[in-house]
Amino acid sequence: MISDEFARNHSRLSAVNEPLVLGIESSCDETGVALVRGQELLVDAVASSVDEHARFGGIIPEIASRAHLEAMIPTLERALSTADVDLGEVDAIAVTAGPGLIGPLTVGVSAAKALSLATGKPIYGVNHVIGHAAVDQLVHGDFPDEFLALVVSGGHSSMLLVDDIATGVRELGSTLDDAAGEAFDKVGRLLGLPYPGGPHIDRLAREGDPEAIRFPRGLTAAKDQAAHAYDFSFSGLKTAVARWVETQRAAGKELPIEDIAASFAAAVADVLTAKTIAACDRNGVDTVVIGGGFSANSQLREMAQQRCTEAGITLRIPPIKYCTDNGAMIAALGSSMVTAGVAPSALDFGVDSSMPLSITHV
Amino acid sequence: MVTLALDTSNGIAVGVTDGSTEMATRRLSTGRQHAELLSPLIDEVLHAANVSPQDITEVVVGTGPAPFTGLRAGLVAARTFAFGRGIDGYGVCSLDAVALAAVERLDLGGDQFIAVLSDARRKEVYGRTYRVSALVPGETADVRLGDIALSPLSEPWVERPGGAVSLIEGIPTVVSPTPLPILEGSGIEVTGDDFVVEPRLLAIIAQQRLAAGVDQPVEPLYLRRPDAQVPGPAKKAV
Repeated sequence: MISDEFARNHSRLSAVNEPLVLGIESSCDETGVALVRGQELLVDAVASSVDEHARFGGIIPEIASRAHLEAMIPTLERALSTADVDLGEVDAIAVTAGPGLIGPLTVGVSAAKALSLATGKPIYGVNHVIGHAAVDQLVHGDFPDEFLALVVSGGHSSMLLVDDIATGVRELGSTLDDAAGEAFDKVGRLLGLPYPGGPHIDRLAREGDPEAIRFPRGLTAAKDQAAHAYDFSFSGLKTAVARWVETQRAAGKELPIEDIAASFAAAVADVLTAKTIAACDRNGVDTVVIGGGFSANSQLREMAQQRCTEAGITLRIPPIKYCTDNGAMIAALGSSMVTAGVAPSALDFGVDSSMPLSITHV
Repeated sequence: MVTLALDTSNGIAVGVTDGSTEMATRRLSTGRQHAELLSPLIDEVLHAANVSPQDITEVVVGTGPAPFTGLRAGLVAARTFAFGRGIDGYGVCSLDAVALAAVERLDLGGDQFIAVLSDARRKEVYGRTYRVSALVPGETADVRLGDIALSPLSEPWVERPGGAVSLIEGIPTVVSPTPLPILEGSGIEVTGDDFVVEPRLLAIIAQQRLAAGVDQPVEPLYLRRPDAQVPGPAKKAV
């Protein structure tokens, strides 16, 4: 189905040292377009529909999809004009092919493919979760030969062993139920906080006692170490918080909301960091990269820094603006692929809402 | 003027026309996988028409009404292709092309009315009504085909069959792009149910409206709000 001309254009691209890559992200509620040259970020333009979802207490895929359609061209224009780049100068286009919400992904992938067709530029359909780790190259430079990546967000909680971000990513484990950020949003709702609950709990937690209430640490028991050493489970924790709150309310007691937030946040940060440090030890790795929207969480940042320092592990966390969904992470991963000489995607790739982490690109 | 015309309101249809001459056209009847299949189909049609993307001078896209995800894939592809080439994009209600196909194939003339219905899922149909008349020199017509003028009588709507009955009452010719089993028992008789959206006709409509100075935004005709409910209080955990 692919014409000869298209195939020729695409095979012409050999490994380029400092490729100029346009990245497009639309897996959830952020429309992101960024330009990266090699490992240098030229522009990162993002349009978000998060405010439109707030009153529903969660992302409504159709609302997000409609916003992506409206934001796509303005965001593209903004990125190109801010960086003063002409589309003709771009070496390749990278786009999130999954995982994510089908409707939103369909907008970004359809846009990127049409742009690829119109301009003759090769296209890479890439994995969003791996992009959350890849973006750190733009901030902290080259990755070491091997490192561990913890990607935590409202939709994902995964641990990756990476020896090449473009070609060699292995999933060690992931959440069996809720993602870390998702647990925060659910507990936020339970405590009557506005959506998204993460930042509110974070703020309250700073004023509370993290040891006031001992909430459970999922999958940390000795019996879980054989099958789930690298996996997470936050659903039980969320239920434990709900039970504790209901018991207090039933007894007519006032809720120590700061202590609940602090103790809950500490449980999440404890599990994430303890498992990450143990994974480094088991795999002989001395660098950790943390990415994804939940890496904005201050308890996680502090605990990860403290435990990594104690264990002699180098910790890399990009600034918060690069942890949330954006085009920069996709452009960064695309740039790594072009540099590594990875072949572009065929034009007939689809979107994959549950794209496994064994797939860096389609 | 080499036009890339596409529609994702009912399957996927892509064509390249030179003026009103069709150079190549392809159709897939899928209701899904638009992200996957649309761009390869555009590539295939360009190849079949023996033109390169650089030869395209405008993009025309069917704006529905249609199920959202597929419709959006067509609109964002049209907008982005046009942006990538630095050319203009125009939007045409997909039902208008169905109506024009009926005028052409049924050889409708004189002064009469037609209705176009299409599948809106959820036991509803999209619809729009039109007047077909002999072209009177000096009078304006929205769309012309030979000496016949076609003008919409309504905005597109979405209705249950019962509601559609009253909206198309007295209209003798009812056409659709696909069979509509949902109309069984509604009393609506469909004259023809294979009047698919032809890219060539989308291009003709867009060119005529452009010449008449009509604004043709590439905006989706969703006709429905997103399904979303403001949540109630949290459920008890115990």
